[in-house]
Amino acid sequence: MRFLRSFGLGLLYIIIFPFILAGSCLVGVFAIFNLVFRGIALIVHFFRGEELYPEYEEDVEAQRRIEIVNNPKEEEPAPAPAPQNIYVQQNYYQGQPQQQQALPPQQPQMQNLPQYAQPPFPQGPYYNQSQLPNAPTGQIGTQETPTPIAQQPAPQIIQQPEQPTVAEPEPVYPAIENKGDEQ
Amino acid sequence: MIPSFLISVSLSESDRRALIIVAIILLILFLLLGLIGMLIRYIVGKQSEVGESMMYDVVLTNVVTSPKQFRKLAYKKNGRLLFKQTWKPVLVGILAVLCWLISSGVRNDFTADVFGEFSELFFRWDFQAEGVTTKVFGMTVLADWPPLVEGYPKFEIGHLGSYITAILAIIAIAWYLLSCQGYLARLVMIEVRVRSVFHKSLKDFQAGKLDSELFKPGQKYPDKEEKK
Repeated sequence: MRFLRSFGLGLLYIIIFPFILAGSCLVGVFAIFNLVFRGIALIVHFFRGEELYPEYEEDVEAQRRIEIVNNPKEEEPAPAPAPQNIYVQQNYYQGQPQQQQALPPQQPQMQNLPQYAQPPFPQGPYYNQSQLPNAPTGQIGTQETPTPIAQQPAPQIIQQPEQPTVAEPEPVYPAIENKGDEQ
Repeated sequence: MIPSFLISVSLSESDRRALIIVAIILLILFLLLGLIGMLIRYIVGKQSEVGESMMYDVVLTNVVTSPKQFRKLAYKKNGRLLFKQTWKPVLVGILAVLCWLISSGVRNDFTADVFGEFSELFFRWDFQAEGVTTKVFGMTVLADWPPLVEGYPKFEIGHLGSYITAILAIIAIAWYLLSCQGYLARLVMIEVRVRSVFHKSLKDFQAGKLDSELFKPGQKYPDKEEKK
C-alpha cells in the first residue's frame, strides 16, 4: 500500500514537475544575481583576510548554549567505601578431614564477590563421598554419611580490610547533536 | 470476446495491431512516469530536510523566538547555501563555453550545431518515414518501428570539441537547475515550518477547567467562623 501511495504521489509530482521546472528557472535568474553579489563580497572578505563565510550571531549563540548544556560542572569525588564483611562458609564432612583442605585457590579480587565466597565444588547433606579422589571404598551400607549442614560448625566471619571499590559511573546523558551546520 | 452489439466500428488488422502497441506503450510510459515522479519526490524531500536542519539548533536553543526572526535568518542561510551550490555548475558552464570557443576557433566555424553533432554518437530514428505512423480514431499513433537515420552511431575525431562541449553543457545545466530546485524546496519548507513551529492553538484549552479543579466532589471546606 505504501508503494502504491508513493507511486500515486510520484504521478502527482510528474504533473506539477513543469511548474517546478518553471520555478527553478526563475530561481536560476535570481541565482545569477546572488552569485555575482555574494561572489564580490567573498572576494572582498578574502583580500581583507576575514573569514569567507562568517558565522551568524544566532548560530554562535546557539552553539554557546549547546556547549553549556553538554558540558556540565565537574562532579565531586566519590566518598570512601564502607568496610565490607565477607562471610566464608567452610563445609566439614565427617570422615574426610583431608578433603576440607582441598579448596581451589581463590584470587584476591574475587573474594569481594559473594558468589566466589564458597568453594566451587558440589555440597549438600547427601553428598556422595565416593566421588572424591581419595574416597574410601566401602561396601554398601557401611559408608559413613556426612553430617548435614545444620550440624556443621557455624561459618566464620572474616572482617576484610577496607578496599577501594570503583564507584558506579554517573549516568551520561546523550549530548545534543549539532545539526545546524551548513553544507 | 466483445459482443457484436457493442461494436459499431470494425477493426482492421493494422488498427488492432496499432491499438495493442499503443496500450503497451501507454502502460510502460505510465510506470516509468510514476517511478520518475517518485524519484523527484525523494530528491525534493531530501533537499527540504537540509532547510530544516540548518534552522534546528537556533530553534531548539530558543535563540530564534518569533516567525520574523526565523524567516529572516532562514532566508539569509538559504541564499548562502544557494551560492555555495551554484558556483560549481557555473564554473563547469564557463568551461564548456571555453571548450566551444577553442574548438570553433580551431575549425574556424562558429555556426556548427554542437548538440546535433553530439547526437551522432547515438542511434537516431526517422519517425517521419512512410508507414511509421498511422491514424487511429483521429489520433496519429506509432504503427511500426521507425528506421535508423544514417545507419549506426559514428564517432568523428573532428567533432571531438563538440562532444566535450555538449557533455559539459548538459552537466552544467542539469546541476544548476538541481541546485535552484533545491533552493525552491527549502523555501517552501521554511514557509511551512515558520507557521507550524510558532503556531499557538487554544483548541483544547478550557479556561473553566482550572476553576473546576478547586471544587471537586467530596471536598471538605473549613467551618464558617462564628461572628462575635
